[in-house]
Amino acid sequence: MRKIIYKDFFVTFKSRFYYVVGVFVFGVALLSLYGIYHTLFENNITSNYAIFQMVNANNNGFFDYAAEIISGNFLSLFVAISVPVIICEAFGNGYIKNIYNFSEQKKYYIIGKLVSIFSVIAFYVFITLLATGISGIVMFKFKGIGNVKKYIVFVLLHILCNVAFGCVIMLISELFRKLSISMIIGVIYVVMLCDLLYQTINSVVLHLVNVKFDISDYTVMGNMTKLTMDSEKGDIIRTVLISVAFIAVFSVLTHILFLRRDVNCNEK
Amino acid sequence: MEDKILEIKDLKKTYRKREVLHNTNFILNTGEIYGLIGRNGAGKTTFMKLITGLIKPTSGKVIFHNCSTNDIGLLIENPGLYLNLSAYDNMKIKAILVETNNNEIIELLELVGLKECRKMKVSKFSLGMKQRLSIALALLGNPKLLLLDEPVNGLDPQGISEIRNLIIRINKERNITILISSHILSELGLVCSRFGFIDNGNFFMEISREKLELNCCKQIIVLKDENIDKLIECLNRARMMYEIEENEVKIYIKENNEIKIVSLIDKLSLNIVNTFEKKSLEDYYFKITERNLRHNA
Repeated sequence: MRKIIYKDFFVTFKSRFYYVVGVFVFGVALLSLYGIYHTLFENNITSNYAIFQMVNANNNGFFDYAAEIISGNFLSLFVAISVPVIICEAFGNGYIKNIYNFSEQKKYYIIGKLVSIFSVIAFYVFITLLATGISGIVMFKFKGIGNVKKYIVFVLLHILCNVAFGCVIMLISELFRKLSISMIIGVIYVVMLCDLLYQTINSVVLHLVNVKFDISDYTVMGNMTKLTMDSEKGDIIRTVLISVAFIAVFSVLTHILFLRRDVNCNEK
Repeated sequence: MEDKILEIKDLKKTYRKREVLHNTNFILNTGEIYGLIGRNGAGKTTFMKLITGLIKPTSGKVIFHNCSTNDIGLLIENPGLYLNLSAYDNMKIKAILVETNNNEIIELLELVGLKECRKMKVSKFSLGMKQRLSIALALLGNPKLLLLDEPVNGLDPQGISEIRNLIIRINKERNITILISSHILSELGLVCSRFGFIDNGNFFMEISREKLELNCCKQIIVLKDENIDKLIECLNRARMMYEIEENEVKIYIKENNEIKIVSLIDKLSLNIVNTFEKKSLEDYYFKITERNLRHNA
């Protein structure tokens, strides 16, 4: 197992792709921080917008801003772009053929991929911290470091949710084994399909059984977007349970699919 | 009896009701270079992929003797490489799996003549260099069995010659059993010790190198008469190859003894029934494929 994890880790961090995406994460994070800065300080807005409440409540420490950046589904878009590369690249270039016959590769395939997904998400989180730090020098004057304890819980929950979402994309990528198709599906899902789908399900349930039901309480994306630094214990437990369930189910499905399907690579 | 390294029993593969490999039985002996001959789409790649487990058989078994799937090195179809990584990094990925040290990576890159370009990105490599790197990759971890599917595909004559010499060296120096497929028959003829012919998913014939050479060389068929014993005596004395059939004797002529035999036949006043000119491996392949097609029809 150690060998598979190291091998996948090596492939992931040797690839330039994640560093390029990292630059985008950095840029988007800086832009978002500039948006907050511009809105708060230059226009002097003190409205009730949830996004600004935290900052206006004198919680404007370094980690409060860092948490603000990754809240919602900021990282999910980058996960939707990165996971198909982790899964499909070896199928696309045909490298999988060189190592597929190794029994360990088959046995621990999914572990290696999960570690890679986790590492990439952690790397992007680190970049948001970096962007926040730089924004502190250029734009904000942080009042201390903020609530570190809450930030750690918040960021771990976000990483967990994003790994769970990554597992959904992992299954899609394993199913298609085509980089472009998997990426497009992932991005569309994050950007618009997810909300549309939830609303449709909610209205169908309301129409059929006349019960007010919110499907987003039981999905990774739904829980992720609702997370805040001040989330209650019940919400945190629900988020953890749903994420773990998603990771387990989608990982098992992906692994079964990997073992059952023939390897026919689409080399360039 | 020779040691088997690979045994295949009733192997069959069907894609959506289309049988691409019919019940195939096959044995590969340790240390040999086996040439799999067949035209494009004959089932060579499917056969190789089934051995490695890249595709699952519909029925049948692949049995490894004294080795496992971990002991296979392979180059199937095109080289599968990370183009954005260096040759060394491509080797390193597999080296992690097979737990070999950096020295072996360098040694193998040297063997395939890529030591100097190890830091170069694979995207800048020529096809021949990629093929050689793929062979080096296949050799990582000291495999006992090497599967090479069309390793000279798309290469120029110099590249073909380099790969050919490399295959012979690997077999001799590292004692690795090699199963190699190609539709460039002349190349296989130069390296393999045994040949298997495949067409339309059917393994229809197997032949040793010696037998193939005999079948390809010039043949003179003479009618049996009272002087035939004298001829056979001469042939035995000269250690020449021949086959006695019902009414005829088939003599296999090699380049250096043709004049001698013809003058002997003439001297003994034997009747020549038929003469078959020397064939290339291609001609032989076409002949037996045609025969197989007629047989199936």
